[in-house]
Amino acid sequence: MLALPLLGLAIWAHQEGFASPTLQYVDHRANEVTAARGLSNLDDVYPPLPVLLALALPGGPFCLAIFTCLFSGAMLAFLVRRIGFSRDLMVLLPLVAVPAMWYTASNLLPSVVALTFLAVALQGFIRFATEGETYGGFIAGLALAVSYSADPSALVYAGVMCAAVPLISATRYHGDPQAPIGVGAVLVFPCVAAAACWSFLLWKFSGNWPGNLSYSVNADVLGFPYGILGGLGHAVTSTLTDLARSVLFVVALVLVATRRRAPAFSAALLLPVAALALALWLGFDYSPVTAYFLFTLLAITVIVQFSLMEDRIAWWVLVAAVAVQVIVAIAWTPTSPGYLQWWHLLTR
Amino acid sequence: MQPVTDVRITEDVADRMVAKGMITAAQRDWAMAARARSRSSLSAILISSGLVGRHDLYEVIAEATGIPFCDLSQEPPDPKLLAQQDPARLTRDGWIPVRELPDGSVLVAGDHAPEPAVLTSIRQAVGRPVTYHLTTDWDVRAALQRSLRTVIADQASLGLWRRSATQSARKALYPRQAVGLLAALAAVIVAFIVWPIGSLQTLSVSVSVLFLLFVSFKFVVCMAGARRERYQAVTPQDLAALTEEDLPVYTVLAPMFHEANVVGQLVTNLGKLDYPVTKLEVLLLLEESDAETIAAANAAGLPPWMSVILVPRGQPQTKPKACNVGLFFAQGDHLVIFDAEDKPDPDQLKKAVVAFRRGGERMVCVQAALNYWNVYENFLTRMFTAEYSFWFDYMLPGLDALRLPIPLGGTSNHFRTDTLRRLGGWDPFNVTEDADLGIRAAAEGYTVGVINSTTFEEANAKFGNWIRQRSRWIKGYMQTTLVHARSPIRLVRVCGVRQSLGFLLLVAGTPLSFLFVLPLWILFVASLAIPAPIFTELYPGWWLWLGLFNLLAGNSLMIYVSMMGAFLRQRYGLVIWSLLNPVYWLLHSLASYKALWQLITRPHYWEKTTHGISALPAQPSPVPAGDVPQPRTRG
Repeated sequence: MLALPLLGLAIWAHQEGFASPTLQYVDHRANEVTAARGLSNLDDVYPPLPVLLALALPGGPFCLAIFTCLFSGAMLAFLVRRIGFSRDLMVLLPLVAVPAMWYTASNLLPSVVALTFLAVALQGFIRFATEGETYGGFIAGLALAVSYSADPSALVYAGVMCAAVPLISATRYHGDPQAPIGVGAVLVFPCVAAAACWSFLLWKFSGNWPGNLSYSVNADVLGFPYGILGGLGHAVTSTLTDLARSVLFVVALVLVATRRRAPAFSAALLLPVAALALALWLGFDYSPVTAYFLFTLLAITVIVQFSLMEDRIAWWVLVAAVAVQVIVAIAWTPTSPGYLQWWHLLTR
Repeated sequence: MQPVTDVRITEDVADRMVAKGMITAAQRDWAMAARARSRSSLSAILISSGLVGRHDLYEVIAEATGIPFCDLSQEPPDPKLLAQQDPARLTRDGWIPVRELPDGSVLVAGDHAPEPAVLTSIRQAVGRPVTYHLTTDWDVRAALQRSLRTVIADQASLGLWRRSATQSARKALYPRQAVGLLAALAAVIVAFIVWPIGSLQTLSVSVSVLFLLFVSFKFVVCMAGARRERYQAVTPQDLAALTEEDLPVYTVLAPMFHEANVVGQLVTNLGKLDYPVTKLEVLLLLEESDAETIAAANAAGLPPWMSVILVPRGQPQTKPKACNVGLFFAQGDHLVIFDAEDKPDPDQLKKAVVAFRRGGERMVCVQAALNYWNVYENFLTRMFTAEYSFWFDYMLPGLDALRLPIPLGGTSNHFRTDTLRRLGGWDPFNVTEDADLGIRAAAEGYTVGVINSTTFEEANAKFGNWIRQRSRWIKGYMQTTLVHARSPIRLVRVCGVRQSLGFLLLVAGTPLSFLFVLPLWILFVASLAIPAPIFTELYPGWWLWLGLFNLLAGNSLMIYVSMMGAFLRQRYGLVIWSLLNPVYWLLHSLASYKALWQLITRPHYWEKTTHGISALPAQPSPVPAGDVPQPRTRG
C-alpha cells in the first residue's frame, strides 16, 4: 500500500519519457551480458543483485523502477510497523516529505537496497558488539553480504565495523584477546565470502575480476579523480556537508548519549560517517542523497531501538529536528544523477 | 525397591538395628528425618548411604515382620514357574516364584513386606496359594537376570521388531523400497547411455541444488536457535523450588564395552550428580563377554546405588540392545543414558525433571547439550567442538523453536520410562538408535524438548577413530531415513507436512549432503584443471556456473554456521578455525562413502569408538558436597 504513491510517481515519470541514469546504466550492463556469447561478459554482472534483476525482469529501466518502488514501500511498511500508528510516525517525515527521497525511493535501486541492509547491519552489529547478542551479529554479517550484492561499498562498512570491534567491545568480552577476532570474523565473513565467491565466478567465466569497477554512474573505484590527498579532503568535506543536512541523525546521536546514557552506542554511530567518507575517497558509488538516506534511516532505527520518543523532552527535541531537516532538505536539496531532470519533468 | 510402607515396621526395624549395634541412635534419627524429608524408603536411605549392608538390612526386616528370609543365591528359581510369569511384571513388582512346596503352594520371594492386596495379586498371578519370603531387591534382579537371560536378550533384540516391524532397521530395505531404488538407478543408467552429456549435467546440477537446499535449511534452523540464545529452559529459581520429596526415582543407564580404562572416571563423574542417591539408580550395562570391563567395575568399589547389569551375549551386539536390557530392569520414573566418558552437569537430572513437568505428558524426552572438554587438542577436536556446539547450542533449540523433529544425541537423553517402553525402547539394529528414537517419537505424536544443561565428553582426536565413529553415525542416519520413509503417507498423516519435511531435510539431507561434497569438489577441481574449450563441451556456461555457485554458497553458509558454534560457550578462538570447515566436510564425505558401503554390506555392524585416548589430562572436578553421615563398615 505504501508503495502506491511511489508507483504513481514512477509511472508518471515513465510516461513523461524519463528513465534514471542509474537504472539505465544497470539495464545497459544487463544488455551487454545477454549480447555476449556465453558468459564472457559476466564481469558486467557487478554488483550482482541489480544486474541480475535487470536480466530477470522484462521492461528495462521502468520495471526496475517498479521493483524499487515496491522494495521502498516494503521498507517503509516495516518502519511504520516498528514505530506503531501514533504521532511518533512524524519521525518518518524526513524520508517521506522530501522530493529527493521520492526520487531515491523510486529510482535508485542499488542505493535503496544497499543502504537499507546497511542500516540493518549496523543495528545488529551494535547489539552484537555491546550486548553480546549472537543473533544480532549474524544478522549484521548477512545484511552486509546482501548490501554488498547491491553495492560493493559494503566491504568498506564491514571493514570499518570490524576495526571498531576492539574499541566498543572491550568490556563486553572481558579482555579476551580472541573475542575481537571472532566478532570481527563473524561480521566480515559473509561480505568477504560473497565478494570472493562472486569474484571467482567472474574470473572463471570472463577472465576479469573483481568485476567492472565503474559499476555505477558515480563509481570509479580506486580512480582518485581528485588525487589521493585531494580526494581525501573532498571526501571528508562532502561527508561533513551531508552530516549537516542530517540534523535528525546528529540529534539522535546526542540524545542516545545523554538521555539513554549509552555513549558507546553513540560512538558506534560515528562509524557509518567514517565509512561513508572512506567509501567516497576510494571511489565507490556516492551521492549526497544516498548519504542523506543512510543517515536518516540510521537515525530512525536508533530512535526506535532506544525508544527515544517515550522521553517527553526528547520527543519535542526530535520534532524540532525533523522540522529543521525537512526544511533544509527541501531548500538545500541533496542531489543525485537524474534528480533535477526528474523533478523538472514532473513539475513543469 | 519397594518401600517398607508400614511406619510401625519402619520404626521397629530402625530400633532393632540400633539395638544390634548396626547403626547409632544419631544415624537412626538422621535416616528417619531423611525419610520424612524425601519420602524415600528407609531401606533406600540406609543402603545408599552405606550405613548398612543390603543383606544385613533385609535380615532385620525379616525379623521385624516375621517373614522368613530367602537367600536366592542358594535357591535358584524353578524355570518352569518363571516361564508362566511376565518377566516385565516380575521386575516391576519385585518378586519371583522360587519353587513348589510340598503342601502345593508356591514359594515366592519378594523384596518388600507386602500388603494384603499385593499378596492377593501375586496369588492370582501364580494361580495357587503362595508362601511369601523376603529377599533383597538385588537378589530378585540377579535371579531374573540369570533365569530369564534368554528371554531378556530376545526381548532386547527383537522386541521392537515384534511390536512393529516397519519401525525396525532389522531389515534395512523393504521390497517396495528396494524396487523403487533399483528402478531409479536403472533409469539413471539408461539416461546416461541414451543421453550421456545431458544426464551428467542434469545430475550434477541437481546434486548442487540439493546440497545448497540442505545446507540452507540447517542455516535457517540455526538462526532460529540463535534467536533463543538467551532463553533458559530451566532457571536456577526453578531448581531452587524443587524439594527432595518432589523428586521422582531416576535411573541412569551407562552402557560400556571394552572401556575398562574409564570405569573409575565414570563412577567419579556420576557420583557428582546433584540428585538424592536414595532416588537414584545407576545401572552399568556390561557385555557378558567383556571380562576386562566387568573386572574393572568389580574392582572400582561401586557405591550401593550403582550396580552392574550383564548384557547377554548375542547379535546384534550394540549399545541400543544393551540399553534395552537396562530398560527392562529400570525402576525409575525417568531414565537417562550416559556414555562411559561423560561428565554431565551435576544439576542435569533436576533440570530434566522440571522440563518434563512443564512439557506435558506428550513430552517423551528432553535432550541436554553435548560438548567437549579437550577442545584445543588438535584440528579434529576443534572442528568437532565447533560442530557439536552449533548442533546442540543452536540447531536443536532451532528445531525446538520451529517445532520440527529432533534427532537425539547419543547420550544425555532423558526419558519418561513408561512412555519409552510404550515406544518400544531403542532399535538395536539401528546404529544411531538415538536419532531413530527421536524421529520415532515424533512419528507417534510425541515431543522432544531441550534443556540448558551440558554433558562434556571426549572429542575424537585420532583420524581413524573419527572416521569409524562418523561413518557409523552417517550409516545410522541412512538407516533412520530408510525406516521412517517406508510409510510416507502415514508419516505425513501423523506428524504433519511440516515435521515430515523437517525430517527429510535433516535426517535424509545430512548424509546426502556429505555424499554430494566430494563430487562437487571434483567438479570444481576439474573446472580449473581441464582446459575450458574441452570442459565447456561437458558443462556449458550456465550449468557450470550454477554448480559452482551452489558449491561456493553452500560451503560459505556452513562455515558461517560453524562460526556460530563458538559464541554461546565463548570459545572465540574456534571462529577462525571454522574457515577450515570445507576440509572437515571432505572428511565427512569420505566417511559417508564408507557408511554407504557398510549400509549395503554390514548394515547392523557397530563400529566401536575408542575412548580415553586424548593426550590431554581429564579436567579436574570439584569435590561434591554431601550431608551423609560416615558409614560403619559392615557388609
